[in-house]
Amino acid sequence: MTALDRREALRLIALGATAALAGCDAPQETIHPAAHPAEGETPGVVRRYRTAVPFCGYGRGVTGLVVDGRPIKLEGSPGHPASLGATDLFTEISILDLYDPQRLRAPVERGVQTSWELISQAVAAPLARSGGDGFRLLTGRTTSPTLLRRIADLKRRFPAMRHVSYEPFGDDAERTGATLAFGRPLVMRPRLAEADVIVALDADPLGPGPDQVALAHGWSERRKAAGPAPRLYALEPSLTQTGVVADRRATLPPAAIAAAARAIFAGLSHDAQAEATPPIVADILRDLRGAQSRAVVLVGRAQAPEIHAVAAAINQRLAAPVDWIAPVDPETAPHWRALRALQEEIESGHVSTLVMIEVNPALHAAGFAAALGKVERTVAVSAFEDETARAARWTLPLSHPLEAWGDLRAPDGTASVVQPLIRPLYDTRSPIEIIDLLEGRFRQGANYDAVRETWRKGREDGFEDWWAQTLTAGVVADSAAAPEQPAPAAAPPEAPPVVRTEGLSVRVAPSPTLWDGRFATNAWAQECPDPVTKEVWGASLRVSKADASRLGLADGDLVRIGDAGEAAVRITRGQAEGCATLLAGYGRDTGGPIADVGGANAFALLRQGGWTSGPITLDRSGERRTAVSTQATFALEGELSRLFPILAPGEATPKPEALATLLDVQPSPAPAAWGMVIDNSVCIGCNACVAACQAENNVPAIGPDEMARNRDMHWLRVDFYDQGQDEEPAFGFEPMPCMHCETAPCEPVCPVAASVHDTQGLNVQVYNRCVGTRTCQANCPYKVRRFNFLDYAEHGPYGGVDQKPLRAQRNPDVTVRARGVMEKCTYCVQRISAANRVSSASGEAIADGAVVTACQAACPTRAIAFGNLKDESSAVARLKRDPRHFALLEELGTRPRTTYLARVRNAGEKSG
Amino acid sequence: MAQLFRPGANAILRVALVSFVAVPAAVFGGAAALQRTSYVTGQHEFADQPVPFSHQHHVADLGLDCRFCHTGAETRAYAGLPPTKTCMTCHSQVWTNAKMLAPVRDSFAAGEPIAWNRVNDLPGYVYFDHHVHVRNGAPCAACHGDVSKMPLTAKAAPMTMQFCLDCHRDPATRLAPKARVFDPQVYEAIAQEDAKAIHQRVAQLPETQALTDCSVCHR
Repeated sequence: MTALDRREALRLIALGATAALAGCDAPQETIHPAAHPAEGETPGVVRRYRTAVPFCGYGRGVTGLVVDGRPIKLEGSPGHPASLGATDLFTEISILDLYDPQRLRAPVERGVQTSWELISQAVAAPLARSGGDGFRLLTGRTTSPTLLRRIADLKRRFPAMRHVSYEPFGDDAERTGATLAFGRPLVMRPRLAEADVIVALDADPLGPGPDQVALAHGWSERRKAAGPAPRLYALEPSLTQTGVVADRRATLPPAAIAAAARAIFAGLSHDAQAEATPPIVADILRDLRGAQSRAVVLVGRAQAPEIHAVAAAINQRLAAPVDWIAPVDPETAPHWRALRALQEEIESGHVSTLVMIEVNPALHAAGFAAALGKVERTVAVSAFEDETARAARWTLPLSHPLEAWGDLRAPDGTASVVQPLIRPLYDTRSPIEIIDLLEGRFRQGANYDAVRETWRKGREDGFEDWWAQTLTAGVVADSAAAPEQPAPAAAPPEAPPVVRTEGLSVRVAPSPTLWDGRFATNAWAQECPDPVTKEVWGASLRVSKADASRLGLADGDLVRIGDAGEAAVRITRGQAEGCATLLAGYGRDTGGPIADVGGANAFALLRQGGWTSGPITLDRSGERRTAVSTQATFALEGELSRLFPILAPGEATPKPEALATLLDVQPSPAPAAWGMVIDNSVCIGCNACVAACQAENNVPAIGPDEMARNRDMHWLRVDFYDQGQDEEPAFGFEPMPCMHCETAPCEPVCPVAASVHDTQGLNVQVYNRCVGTRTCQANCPYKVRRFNFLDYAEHGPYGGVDQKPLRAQRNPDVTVRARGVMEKCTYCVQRISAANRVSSASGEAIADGAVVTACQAACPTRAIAFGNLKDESSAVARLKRDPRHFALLEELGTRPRTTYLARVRNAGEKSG
Repeated sequence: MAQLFRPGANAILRVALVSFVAVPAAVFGGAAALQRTSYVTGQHEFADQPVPFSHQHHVADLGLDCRFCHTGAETRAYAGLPPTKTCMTCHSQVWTNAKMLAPVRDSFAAGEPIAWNRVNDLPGYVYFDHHVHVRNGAPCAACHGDVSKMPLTAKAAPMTMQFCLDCHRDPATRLAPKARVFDPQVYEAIAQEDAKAIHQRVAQLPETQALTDCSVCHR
């Protein structure tokens, strides 16, 4: 920018003065009452619809909140087994995808807009002529009964076609392992609510995945229940969410975990004192023998099928609380093998038409994009521009799941009918309509008819009643897969001896925020901190301290990782020596402003299959890059036991004496005193609450540059703690909303009284008073206040893309904050206010549980309780009397309304 | 040496000293006062409407209840403007060819909403809930005035924060017996005893004290 000269400055001042003098009238607003309102359509009233959104092909039940025809938020669906009333991060961010300004809006042929009719002529007509010879349909895992039925129809029409489905982070190893054990691919579904002892071998059941909510819910139920304290063992090469909350954890390279699984099996079979390598195995054996049918062993997707077979045998021997079900999706071939076979077929020139629906093989499989050049007709159906769409001849825009009728099955087989909450915003089509297109026909409303036809079969009598009931319930009654009783597992095969590789291998893990990269276009996902490293808008290569010193690497050194690209190094605790970890989903080339944040594409390291690469050399580029992160300090020496106390089972937090105070704290006459208690013991750091808060409270995404300036806008963050002892580190998560201190330090320092208390005990921020001195932020000991430096709501990180569609997502009950204003967690004051108003109008008191904050509603483990402290019988008042109860920084005398229950770690006795 | 200042300089200094205080006070005071005038608040102003709808005719002459058209007043945050369908319940029978009503018929036929100009407009950070006011005895006329005397609808109240607070600080002065909430001339008919009873009831309510909380209207 050139310096402003004097004349120019004077000119601008004069212009400003004239503009201020002339003023401007408020624009005349208009009201548009519907000419013929739809049934039940009432302006400004939130309506709730049960539906489901897909993830990895499985359905997760949701309740869509719709205002004036716009879905604005997704909450859980209590009757759905993959939701149980809660959500996960990927469900919460899905609403942003609907309004994302980067969405594809019209069909495109090689960058030029075309029409659906022309595509039908160019793609469907040759198929009809050739009978489907050389036609391949590539999708992700498909569980939708209607879509599968329509694909079967398509196959009848084009007998020579083949349907290939693949899920990058699927359960190939588990199914192959079950085949080794039982002779057929069964899927294990642990009932963690019944497990006293859980042994996670390279597994992350509480981490991201299509069944995270159900598993975490079961695990937390057992944690909260009375009886002997449960114990969770985690043996893993890299710190995961399961490792963070585990009672015992060991950092081991993948091969050592495989050996541990075999040692456990041998120890249980021979009932002898096993070779205690590593020593934690002896303790695991002791606990497994003690718990027997109340213990379960879980193995992660990165372990070999043989190890899954071993675990199946162990669980059968223990009579573990697990159900075995037949796979919900019919594709029996291991997904990666199917994808590689397809790639070979393409390279040998046998494929003439390839239709790819909602998959991105060009990112996941090296060389796939180049191979597409050998296919005459390539069609990518996608909601966003991605590597595959860029390499394909035609790119067809996909409807959002909230825009079209459909159906999905949950991981346990329970089916749901997916009902649209809004008409397609753009000229897009759903997967079912794409099948119609391939058949050479298309008509409006075909989705609805197809879904109803699927479900009408066998229910002809009373179908309309059944349909209405199913839509209201959100699930098809009694549609879960029946558990099977497999024959005793075959003796697990001996694995080939592990070849000890020298040097560093890289473990590829799904990103807890972007998964395999499919959420990389979502600004909320990019801005959501990684649970463990707290990095945003990128991911570093995690390396153990020993490897770093051996290779001469320092934190932030930029390295080239084989073919994957460049990433910064992060020396991470809990990382196995000889094994680095790289998260998938980065190193993208989509041409979009959100997804292309740089980094390394982890999939490029997986040429030989599996999730651990061969030896990799890291070439230092000589440059350094500081990772953008929302938390700089993880281990606070000396203070940790107060900030994040960790108790043994049955222990209580020390109760400090009441502090003398000069402040005049009078009880309020209001009928309610709102408070919150968060149970650190069951927080799994999944970030569902963070995204739920973002969706509910119109919290904008600000982009990597602003995040690097520490201008994070999240009203709720989850702090990660590390107790800092090297041997068996103890970690934990602590969610941090506003504490709503009764004697809030932010209030006396505000020069304009924008930070004040209301009679119900909320520390409220009055946006229209705030002048932006930021003194309150400086004086807040919990650092939960956020300042809107720029007009983030209207100027997000979308580059030149017009952001107006985002406005439709905004919650009309929450102010969209302007620039220069302080903001923070309000305890969802709009929900409290709604309850207050209903209570005032009807004269009925607010019942316990009538006000649910967005974070509370999202939490899969029900770690957050909220309610009226004046009601002695309320859930939150009961938790405040819990022996584990403590207030953060209590010695400051802030009297926080948000308090915690300390984490319990049942480490038990250690042998060896 | 000649005098440095002429005798008039004293007067100039006095005027300067006074204006040093008075001018900024007048500017800011004037600006503040201006904000409260109807020139800025738009009080008593009419908005041009696509159809010159007369509340006077529909309420005073025909005796329609507020809730016939503003259906949400008692049950929801938004009282709501009637859909074209509501207009046509009568106007498909009466005044079916009136030129004045052509936009209504067009809207009904095309299914396109009529774009009414807002008369009362609150800023985006203010949240008003009709049903909680109406159910607690705040009559429509408290804010909307006597619409039975309005041939065209005008903004009856300034809708400033001061206006809201006047009532939130002492609601009893503006409340009415529940039976008379929808009466456009409610205040002219309230008996002395009614007013007293209301005052007693409201003063005892614990939530009256909370009515001036910021979070009541801002969130």
